[in-house]
Amino acid sequence: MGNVLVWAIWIGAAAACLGSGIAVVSFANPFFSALALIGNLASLAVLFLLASAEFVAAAQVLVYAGAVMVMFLFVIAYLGGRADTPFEGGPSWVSFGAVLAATALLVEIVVAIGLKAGDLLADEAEVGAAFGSPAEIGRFFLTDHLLAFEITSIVLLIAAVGGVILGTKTRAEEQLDRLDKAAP
Amino acid sequence: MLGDYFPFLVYAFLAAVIPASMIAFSFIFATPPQKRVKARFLPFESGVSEGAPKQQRFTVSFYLTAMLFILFDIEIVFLYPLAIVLDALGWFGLVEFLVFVAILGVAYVYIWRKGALEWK
Amino acid sequence: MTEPWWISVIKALIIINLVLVGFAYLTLAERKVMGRMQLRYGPNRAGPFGLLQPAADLMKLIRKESFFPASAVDVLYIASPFVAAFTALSTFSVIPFGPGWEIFGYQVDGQVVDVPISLILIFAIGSIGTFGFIVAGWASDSKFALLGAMRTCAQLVSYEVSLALSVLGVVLMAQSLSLTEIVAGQDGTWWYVVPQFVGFVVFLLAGTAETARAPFDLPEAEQELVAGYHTEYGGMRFGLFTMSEYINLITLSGLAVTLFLGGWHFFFLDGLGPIWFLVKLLALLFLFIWIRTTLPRLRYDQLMRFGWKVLLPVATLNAVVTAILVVAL
Repeated sequence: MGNVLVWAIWIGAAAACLGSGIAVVSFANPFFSALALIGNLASLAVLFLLASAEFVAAAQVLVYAGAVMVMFLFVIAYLGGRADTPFEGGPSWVSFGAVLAATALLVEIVVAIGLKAGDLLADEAEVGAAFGSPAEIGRFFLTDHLLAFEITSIVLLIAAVGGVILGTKTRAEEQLDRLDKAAP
Repeated sequence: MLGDYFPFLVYAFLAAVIPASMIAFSFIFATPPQKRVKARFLPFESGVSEGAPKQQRFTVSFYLTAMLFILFDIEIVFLYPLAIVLDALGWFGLVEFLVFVAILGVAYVYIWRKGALEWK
Repeated sequence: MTEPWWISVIKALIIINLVLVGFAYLTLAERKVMGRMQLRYGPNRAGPFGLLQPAADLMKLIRKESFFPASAVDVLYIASPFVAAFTALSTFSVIPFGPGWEIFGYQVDGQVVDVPISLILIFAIGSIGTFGFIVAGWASDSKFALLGAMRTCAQLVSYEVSLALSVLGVVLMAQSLSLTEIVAGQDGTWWYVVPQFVGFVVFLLAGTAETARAPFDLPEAEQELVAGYHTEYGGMRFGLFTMSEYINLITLSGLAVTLFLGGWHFFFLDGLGPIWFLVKLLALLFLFIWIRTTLPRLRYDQLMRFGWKVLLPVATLNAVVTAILVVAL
């Protein structure tokens, strides 16, 4: 019974993932696209959970769906009405070619994985009890992937600088504002 | 491990059915209005109308707040798994933890000094 | 021994209904207590001592006209109260309320859901709940609703950082993200409120802001915003937003009891687990009502400054000091 349930959830989440992904690119209104992206991220989190990566699933929802999407929605609100300029061009030969190339690539990857893996895929994956647990991830941060972990904090520092530069006014702009206020 | 999540599935199903049924009730048991007046369906307004609100723009402070939130949210997601194993890893882990927090502290001081924490 | 699946189903059904009844009577209790604190009676007409007031409110809200604003996006307008109520309801499931029992030879756990990441699960689902508010404001296409939604959202994200960081000290001490293990870590020793007092205070303050209660009730500052993001809502759809707010408050108090106040443990008569849990929960809820009647509302810039410039550094320092002490001792 349990296995059937897992399969049903997997199929549902995978379908939701694909459907919301298509919805993201096909909505003309950026607000709807952003909402579809939230659905996409949430269904991805379910797929992570089914792959026993429970901490990654929670972190995915917390950071991507919870934080990044809030900023997307704020930016859409900040841009106001100017944001919705619908896509003008119809289907062209270029887009047709792009789809064809992407499909070919996908088929190639599937075939390559199939050939390389051979009958390895027939075996069930062995997942240890600690796999995906927060403690295991924390241990990896501080031992095997120490450098990546420390560099993350520097990346965050750079992101803070970039965000502040984009979001605050320069001194010259502030001076102009003051002049605007002073002049009647 | 997935078995642990079965009760959550049941509970989440109930948590979805109850609000959904309440919304359904809000259609089924609704009292029909005696008279349809067009003004009733206009958005609530007080003072002079400035047109459709979707056209108006919001202050950039909202964007900045969300940006900073992403930063600190990522920090938290990194610190939680760390916090669990910190005792086990001892001083070596602590130094790494402090370096991580210190670099973010630099970012925080920068944000503060640039006035990005002021609401305008 | 693990719990049979049908016990989980029955327990989920019981707990979710208890939470709903708790919500219904919390609204009544709040109005009663506030009334007494302001030297009036509070609701006392429906039934003895006004005890049927929640039922009367429910009937009234359900009978209201089904209303759509002229330019609203109908699907999102209906979906957003659902999202808010769903996320609020589903988080209570991870709160442990008892030690677990053996009844007629069957194991019954003291919580509905026990997963190793239960603490972060609450934050993750709660962060989805934010979209219920912002979508409500956007979909109703009214300027007060949209402005209210933006403000609500900015406030929620600002205080979520401090809320999550204030808990870090507890995680450091308990070395687990599982709420049952955090409760077990407080058995027979000091509750984490003693070594983590700073964290507890930050948690309560940030939690008050997260549940948008006075003095942080800026999302529905009626003098400026009419009613905030739910200006255009009426009837049961408005009721679902109110429900999500109160249930978030109950969950948050339950989380505070679990993390800082020893969960269902007490110094003596430990067997009465759920009773002690309930007593502590009610005490915290009373504290929240008390704060609401006592303190005036902040201004919006004060609110943001307090969150980013006071709570965040205090919570971070608390976590750093705890980390040093945990490793050194």
